[in-house]
Amino acid sequence: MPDTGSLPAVVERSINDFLAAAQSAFGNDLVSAVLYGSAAEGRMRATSDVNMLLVLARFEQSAADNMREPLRLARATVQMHAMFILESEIADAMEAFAVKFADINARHRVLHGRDPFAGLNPPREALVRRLKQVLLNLQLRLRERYVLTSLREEQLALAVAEAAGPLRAGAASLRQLEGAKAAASPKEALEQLVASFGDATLSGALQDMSAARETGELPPGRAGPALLALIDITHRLRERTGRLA
Amino acid sequence: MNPFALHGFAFLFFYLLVGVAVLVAMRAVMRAQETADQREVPRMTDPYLIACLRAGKNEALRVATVSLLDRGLLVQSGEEVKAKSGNALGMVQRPLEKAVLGKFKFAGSAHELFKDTAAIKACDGYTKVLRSYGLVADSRTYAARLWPALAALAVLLGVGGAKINIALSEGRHNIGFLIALMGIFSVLALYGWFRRLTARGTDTVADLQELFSRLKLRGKALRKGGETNEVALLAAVFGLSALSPSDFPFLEKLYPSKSSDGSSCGSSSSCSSGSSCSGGCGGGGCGG
Repeated sequence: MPDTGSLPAVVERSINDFLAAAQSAFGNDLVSAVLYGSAAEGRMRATSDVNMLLVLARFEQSAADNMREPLRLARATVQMHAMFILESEIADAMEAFAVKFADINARHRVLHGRDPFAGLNPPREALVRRLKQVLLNLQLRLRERYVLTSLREEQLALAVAEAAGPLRAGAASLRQLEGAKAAASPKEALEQLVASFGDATLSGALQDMSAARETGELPPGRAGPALLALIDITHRLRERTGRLA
Repeated sequence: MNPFALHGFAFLFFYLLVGVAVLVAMRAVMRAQETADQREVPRMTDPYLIACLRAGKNEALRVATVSLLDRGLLVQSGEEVKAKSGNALGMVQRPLEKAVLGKFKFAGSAHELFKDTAAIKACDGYTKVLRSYGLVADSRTYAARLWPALAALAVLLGVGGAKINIALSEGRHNIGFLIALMGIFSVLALYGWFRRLTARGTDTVADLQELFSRLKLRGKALRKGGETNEVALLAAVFGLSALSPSDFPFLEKLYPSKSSDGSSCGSSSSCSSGSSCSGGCGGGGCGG
């Protein structure tokens, strides 16, 4: 039984079932099973999903077919998202998706096999380049979302909530690049960075973002300014990243 | 103290306690029998198997129909459904899905499926599996429940009958409430005898509902389109009512909820039997 830490019983059970199915399906080809994200930190909300990374020696159809029902079941029970990655692809993935893998590297728990990230870190240049790209992409998406949905404020609250993931991961990567003492979580990394801007409006937007994630809604009149503030935060993070290049 | 010397509400209260105790004991005995089976119940991943376990064959057929509509392999028009195209049949793997699509090769009412031979046969396969794991009662289960149920009925009818006999011999005829209680407890005992699920089956349904509790939480936000089987699983574990009527408007068309005007009145047997209902109880007559 792998150590899944302090997780809700249903989540722990679903993870264990999925892992058992993966071990049975892939056998020796399963190099590692890694839990990452909020579940790895034991900080799940009722609506949090579960992120699992399976490191494989090879991806064979027969084994993959045996994982179809277990994954569909885990998706239904705990919103599990699984990444099937070959051992030989990890280095490339770390470079291509540097921000994501920096986040995984910072918040993961090995449930089976060895730690595939031991001694590995995304290359600094790749992380800077990718972080700028992620933040710019986020800015563009949030602007479109604002224009498209701000006449329907309840929809805008969802956009505010959804910005949390990339923004927090970006903040954690930026803190790492700046050589700061590691924050306890990406959420705290973002809070620390925004606090350093010294703008109460931006800090308030982070509170709104947390509230939107919790409840899926915000009080009337709050979602629009919050989203615009998040765009501003994203812009400032990207500028700060640019100074590292 | 002789309980048969009690009158009116005092005896009714005594009988109520006896009835509850007997039913609890009966269920405990049956439960002990049905959970003694040590075979491990496999993890259920098939929504139709789950629906069949929770609410029977017709529920499995309803869930299959809804799932195929969600996937776009069935299309709905008014109260009828029809396979989208001839290719639909080749897209599905489960025998039940094949049977449903086969049935709706030509447009028909969703309820016609409940009488379709191929669909019923596919469901029989599920029932067989459920019986093999001791989740749904079979002839052996009913036979094993026979003695606890008969013993319960004997106590319920024996105690009540003895009191009625005493009351009548003493010239009291206000026994309606007691007869009603005897009837209610006897029906409950018979329900315990003939209920479809075994204790293992009931536990399994409860376990599945716990396992899928997070799915229920986000039920109203599920994505349509059938990419995952979340819609089918949600409906299977918690019933079609767990699906959002606004996202699945066809549900009300295909399976309109039964309207109830609340006017049906089960007549009170105690009153209709001519016993004193309005004033006799206070005098200690209803309990015989």
